[in-house]
Amino acid sequence: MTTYASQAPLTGDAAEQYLTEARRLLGDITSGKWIQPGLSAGGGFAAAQSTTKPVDRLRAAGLGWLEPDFRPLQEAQDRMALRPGQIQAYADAWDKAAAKISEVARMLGGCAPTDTKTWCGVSGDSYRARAAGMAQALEAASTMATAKRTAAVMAGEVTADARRQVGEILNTLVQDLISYLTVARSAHGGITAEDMAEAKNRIAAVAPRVSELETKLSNSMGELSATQYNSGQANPALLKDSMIPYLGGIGYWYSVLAWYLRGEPITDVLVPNRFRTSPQSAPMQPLPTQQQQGKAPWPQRQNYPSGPGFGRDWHNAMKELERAYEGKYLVNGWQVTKIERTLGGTKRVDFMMVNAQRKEIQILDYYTGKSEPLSHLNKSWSYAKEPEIQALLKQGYTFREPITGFPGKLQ
Amino acid sequence: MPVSESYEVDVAALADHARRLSTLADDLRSVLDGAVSLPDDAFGETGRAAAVALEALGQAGQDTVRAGSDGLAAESTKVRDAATAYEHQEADTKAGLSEAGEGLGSPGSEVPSS
Repeated sequence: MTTYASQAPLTGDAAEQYLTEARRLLGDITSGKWIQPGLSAGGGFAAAQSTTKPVDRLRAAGLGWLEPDFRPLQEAQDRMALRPGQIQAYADAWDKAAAKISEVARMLGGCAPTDTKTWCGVSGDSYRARAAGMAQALEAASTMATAKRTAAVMAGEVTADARRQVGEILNTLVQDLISYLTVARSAHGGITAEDMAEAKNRIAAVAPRVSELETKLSNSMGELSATQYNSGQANPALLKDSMIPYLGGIGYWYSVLAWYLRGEPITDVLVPNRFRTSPQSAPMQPLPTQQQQGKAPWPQRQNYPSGPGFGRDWHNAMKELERAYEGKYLVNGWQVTKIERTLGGTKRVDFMMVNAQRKEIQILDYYTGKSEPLSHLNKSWSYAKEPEIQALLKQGYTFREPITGFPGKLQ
Repeated sequence: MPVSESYEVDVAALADHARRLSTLADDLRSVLDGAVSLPDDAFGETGRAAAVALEALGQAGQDTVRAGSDGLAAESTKVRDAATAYEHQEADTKAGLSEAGEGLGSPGSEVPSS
């Protein structure tokens, strides 16, 4: 088993990297590239405030008998109903938070060197370096707070835009139905079966446009969520158990920032060849995403009887989370190539990454039991014999000593 | 700390800086007082996943702010401890010099007659 001893503390370069990552995230959100064509942000939430529903206009026109056909379209618009006040309150709170965090960062960066200028020697220099790093890390936290504010506002505006467009389509449809049936009633002395069929056809003809808008909105919001989770280049190989619920770009960097700001020995995500253990910090909040989307909660050992159940469920949950990183590059030049996949043979590797520049292969083999047996270590080495690894070795790659164990305790 | 480091230190400035760090830690923690949750349905049913993700990240952001405040408070303690240590060192040095001076006799004392 490889042991990577704790090395030098992270430098200001690392904190600068956090800032770069935070700015990348903010850029990914503000660019609006997550917004599907046909929808837009920037129009405010006003469209969400309209009160008269098209279905109510339909009823008021005495066309309530068309409601069963019309209702699915109205429901699509209802699913886009915003809570503008709540969104604005959330955005304002993070706006203020961003300003305050940035202010603290600037004050720290300004006063640390001047207040302590007579503090010479190693201790003083070490403190000033630490203060400078913390100031940058706080700027990164401020930038991420701005990213949250921006994401909330833009998501609200895009939703409002979709709702407005659906509203326009439905109001136009209601007007069209009223006009058509008024004329038909005059022409036929009443509404005929053919008129009713035609009205229903007109409703059905509009349905695809409404559905398309809802799909675009749904996809946009999905992309926004993915941006929040995937922006930046987090390194899932370095996860601690406490941060698993936050797997994803911003959550990952938040965790790293928290370690950094607390001054904890930190898993070094920036320097190749350093996989370091970190002490347990205060556990983060459970992941609402998993809880509220009806997913099974993250497996907790204490909830399992002795036996293979915990390991099986934990591996499955980990696979589901880490698959998002497959094919992606990490900050230190490694590319995640396999998550719970075979390597051309029969064995399935938990996690594999490759560094093309350094021509190195690194695999991780998770072990969820209490005490890792020699057989598990031998298994981790045996991946070197799998065909795809062999092919890389023939190209001059080196198979690095496998990293085995449990996230947060990987050694 | 190396003894040589203490000679140049403005202990009062260091103590002031420690207090300033403590204030900054409190300022940062005050951010948490204004935290606002985002309801799941803030963006309607269609945007539920995005709202849930944002709220989760809001929690993570609060954890980071808390960590920043804790970190600043810890640095404040370290700087204050350093200032105290330098102060003691300075006092010890003065006392040592005073004792050495007493051994030589005070400036106003009479020179013992031989």
